[in-house]
Amino acid sequence: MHALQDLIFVSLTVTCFVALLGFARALARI
Amino acid sequence: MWLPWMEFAVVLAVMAVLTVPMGQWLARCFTSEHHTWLERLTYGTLGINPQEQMGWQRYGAALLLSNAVMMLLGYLILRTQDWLPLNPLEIAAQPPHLAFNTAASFITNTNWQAYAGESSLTNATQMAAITFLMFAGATTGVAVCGGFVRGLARSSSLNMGNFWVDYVRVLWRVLLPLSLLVALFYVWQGIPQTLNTQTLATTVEGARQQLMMGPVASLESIKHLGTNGGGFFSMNAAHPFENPTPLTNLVHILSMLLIPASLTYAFGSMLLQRRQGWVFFGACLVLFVGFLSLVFTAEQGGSQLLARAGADQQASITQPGGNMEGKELRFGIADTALFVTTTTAATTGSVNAMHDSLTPLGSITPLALMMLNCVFGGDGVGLINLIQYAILTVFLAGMMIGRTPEFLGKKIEVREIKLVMLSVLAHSAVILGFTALAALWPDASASLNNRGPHGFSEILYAYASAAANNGSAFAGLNANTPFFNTTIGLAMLAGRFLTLLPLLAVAGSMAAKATVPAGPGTFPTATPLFMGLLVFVVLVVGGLTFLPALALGPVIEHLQMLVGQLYA
Repeated sequence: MHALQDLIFVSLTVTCFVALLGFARALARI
Repeated sequence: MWLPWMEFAVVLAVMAVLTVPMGQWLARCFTSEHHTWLERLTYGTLGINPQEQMGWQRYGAALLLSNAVMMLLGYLILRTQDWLPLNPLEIAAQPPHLAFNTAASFITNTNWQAYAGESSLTNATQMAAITFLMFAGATTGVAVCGGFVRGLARSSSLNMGNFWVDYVRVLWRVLLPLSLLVALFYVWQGIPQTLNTQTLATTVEGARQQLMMGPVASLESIKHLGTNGGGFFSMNAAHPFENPTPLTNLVHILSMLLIPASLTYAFGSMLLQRRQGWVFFGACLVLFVGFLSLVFTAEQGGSQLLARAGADQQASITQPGGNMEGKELRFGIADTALFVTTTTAATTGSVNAMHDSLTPLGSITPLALMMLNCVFGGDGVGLINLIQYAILTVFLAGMMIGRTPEFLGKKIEVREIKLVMLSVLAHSAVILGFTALAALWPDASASLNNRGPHGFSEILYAYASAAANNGSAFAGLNANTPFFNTTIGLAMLAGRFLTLLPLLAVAGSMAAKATVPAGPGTFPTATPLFMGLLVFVVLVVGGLTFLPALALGPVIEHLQMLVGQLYA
């Protein structure tokens, strides 16, 4: 159970930072 | 009653005096051409090229990637602490949702704690995860501020420095040596610094008592210097092992304000515009004193409900009077009010009293300071947020009097204003959006200690604390649930980076512009008039954004208190 939750929260962390990198790229186009 | 005001004046005067040498030190750290042997060794070990110049996008990417790796490392330690050494009490690993919340909290310099440190973390975790991330989060903030100010100072340039150089310098030259000095002072004052986990004591009644201990002094020093805030113990700076004497209370307060206040001077030095730096310092001071006055007079005035219940709230030689619920007797009203204002202005989050027990009007001070997020503010980000408001002020003033908005010799154009507004809106959207979600969430009310407007304030405070990367809690909310751990974790990440990245883009945009000499149409920004306008704009923007939410919480609670309305 905890292994699945670990996968979810590690994925959530990675997704957040990848999205932030995308956000930074989008800001450059403003 | 003049004594508390004298104390406030002396503390703020000492802070102002310390601002100059510390500001000079910070400015030298950001502008020095010389790399020490320790820094060269670090660059060599990590494969960093210190000569590389970065544009704002590369600077921001380095910031994000370094923080992502350190957050995942913190998560790993928190999830495996039961396998790690220095765990004689066999403390279990944090569950995944709590570990996510804790790792996000400490890497973003929030230090929100949905756990009790003394019973949930081993000494190895307190050092390797918590203290490590405290240094990482604070260093990131100060380093980015150096890059941001450098961007403002440059002219017709695509670069704003090197993130790794800024990071390594702030760590080696500023935070590590200062933390060591302050930690030694704390040990002298009686704060424990040991690898032992506990000691057994016999009380006056003859009972045996288990006292938890650990490397507290080293955590306390970076906790306040780094505007971090997470306590070794769940009682935080109200615990006698974290805050044993009046002197440690004073040093806690000065440590919290030291770097945020000094960065205004460093800003003036780096731009060769000292008056501009003092204008920013003055604006922060005016707001700080205003909010300090609010919480002090509200707490000293006491509670109408306690008065009806027959409580003696008159000041006398045996008690400080006022609302003493949730406060340490040894700190009283004045030291609590000063600590509440400092910890939320500097977005530290360390507490020496229970904020949940503040009077409704008194609780507006911490809430408002976290919502404004620029009154000295956290290490580095506070000054960046204040400059965001300064750009907005220049723009609004320019619109009113028909002058082209200029700031620091650069024209403020559509792009800068779009980016600034994105940052302002991101901060408020995170607080209000997540508060609305939690207020509607089916199980969220089960986490509240109070119903009615005070319960709403508990939720609003949690997300304001998360978005401002403050970390203090109203303490009436059981936040250790999957919903709160996940949403508060996301609010901390969004509050940190969705505001920081647009402002880095502003610095990059300003660096690329050519500096134009001040002309007769230039609105001067290093004047008391601009300071007043800046304070006005901060209060108006903050008020328009957050007053409706405050009206649903502390304002209505105050009005109901006056007519004796209670919620069972």
